[in-house]
Amino acid sequence: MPAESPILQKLRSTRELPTLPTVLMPLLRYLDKPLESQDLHEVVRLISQDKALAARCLQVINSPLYGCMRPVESVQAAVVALGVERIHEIAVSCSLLKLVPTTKVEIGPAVFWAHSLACAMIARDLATKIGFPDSAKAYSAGLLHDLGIAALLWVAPKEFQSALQLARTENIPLHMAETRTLGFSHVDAGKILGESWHLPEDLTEAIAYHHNPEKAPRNRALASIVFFSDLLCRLGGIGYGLTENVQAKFTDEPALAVLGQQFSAVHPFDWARFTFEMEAVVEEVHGVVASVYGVKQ
Amino acid sequence: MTPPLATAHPGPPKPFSKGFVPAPLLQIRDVIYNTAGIFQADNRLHVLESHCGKRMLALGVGSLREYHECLTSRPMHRAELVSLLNEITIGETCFFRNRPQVDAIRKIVLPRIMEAKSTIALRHLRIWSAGCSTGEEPYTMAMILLDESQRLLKNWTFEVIASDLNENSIAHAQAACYGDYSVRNTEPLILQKYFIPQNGKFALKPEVKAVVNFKRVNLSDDSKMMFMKGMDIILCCNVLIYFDAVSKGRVIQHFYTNLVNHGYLFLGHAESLFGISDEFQLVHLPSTTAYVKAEQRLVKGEGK
Repeated sequence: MPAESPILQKLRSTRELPTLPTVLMPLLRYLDKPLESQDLHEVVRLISQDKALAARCLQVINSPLYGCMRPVESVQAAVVALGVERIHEIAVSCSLLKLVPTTKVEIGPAVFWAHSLACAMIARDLATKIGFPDSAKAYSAGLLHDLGIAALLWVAPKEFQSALQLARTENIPLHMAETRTLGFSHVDAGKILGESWHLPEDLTEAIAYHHNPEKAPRNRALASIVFFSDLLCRLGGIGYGLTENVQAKFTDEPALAVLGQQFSAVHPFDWARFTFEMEAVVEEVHGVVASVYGVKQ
Repeated sequence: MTPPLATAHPGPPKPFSKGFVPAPLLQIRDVIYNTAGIFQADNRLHVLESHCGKRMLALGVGSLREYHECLTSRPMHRAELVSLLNEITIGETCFFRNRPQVDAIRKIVLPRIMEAKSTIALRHLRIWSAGCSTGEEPYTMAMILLDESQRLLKNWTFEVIASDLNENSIAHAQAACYGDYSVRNTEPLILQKYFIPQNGKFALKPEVKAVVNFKRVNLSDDSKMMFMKGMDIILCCNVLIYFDAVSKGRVIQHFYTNLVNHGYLFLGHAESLFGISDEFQLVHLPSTTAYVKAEQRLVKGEGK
């Protein structure tokens, strides 16, 4: 086995890691609790203790993405208007708003968050459509799948920039460009960060295997859902501004066989309609990103 | 407070807020998708409502619920669906209309087809625009082929076959003179390269016209369809939506036979073959989709 890249070694040992958003872990743990012990007051309390987070959440809640009839002015009221699951989703998403550094590289916080959010929403929809039992988990996995990119932007921005450059000039997928220039890809970095943050195991696994979900040791279905959501985002024009000159035939993907073994709704699945439905999601995500970051992407 | 009903100048329709889309409109969307195969995403539903509104006005129908019945259970519902589809697709034609589709053909599909053909000596490409209307689509293909003729397509020959049922459309296409509306998506460089200004209009240069060969073909005419062989790419945009399930199945079967083994079928934006053909396989390309005929050589790890 080749020696581990110095960048990954640095990632394991460094204190320069992106700090774990304080509320993220309690929010993710909350989802893993059995249903009967879930307490919506706990979610409201978690969000409200971080004033900045609560304010961001309300901004998202009041964006067209969630389309509330009248302005929602408190987290408590938001739970009433949208239900605890949506509020939870929004809070987890908003906790990642400042995950990546504001640097000179092209992938800044807004661009990173846009892809993560779109992937989360599509993963949730896909999970629901095929009958995956935990759509909230799919949302979190979609949201966090590219954590490794955030990690690389912190510890090795220059090296990451060269991978990004290669992806852009050759129109190839980013993880392939990373493998060529760095010798590893963002899934390796994401795995390290997921482990050091002590994320729930299935989430770290989805992060580590979202480009080859059939190899995932435990929850292959979750990783497969993220695989397709990520692919649809990248081919649907919400993939860090990169254009990949590739074609994907979903029926040939091992990830489809993984889902097919577990969910009868996949035989056959109307990928065309699902893809067309996504266009609205992408537009909504651009809208909410613009309103939250106050920028036009 | 006055309810916000239709006024004399309602302005362009505004998108619906999430969760406030009228239920009958969602049913109408499903009727259109299930019978015509064309999908209106959530962010287009307000446009669909305005199309329905026009038809409702023409029919004197007061509610979307009632209009849904006009599309499903009332006499002549098939004809009404055609009228609605006309509203939806009207005025869409222009050069480079579907930019992601054009880009995918140029950057991904052509190189793949050429690679597949590299094992045989035939260095010739055939693209068919089935239902070419007034010619913008086949001429768009001709322009990208000409653009690549000294690069990607060096030492290759190519032709575009364009067919339509309507003879007036074909005559218009053959005259090859277009107004502003048709060139609204055309880059200035392309406009300069392939068009000649003519009395306030844009006439295509002879070299572009020479690439395209027009024919009058009824896609339901089995005997004619049998002669459209050896196609590498078939484009059939917003045409199949007008066919009933049985005729559509027949046309698709012909397309399947007409394509070479590595061939591609492109449909219109948000148009699907789900439930129509098991032989064609959906492929995803950047911001567009297509159908391929047969197993293509798998490049390991591609697209993941």
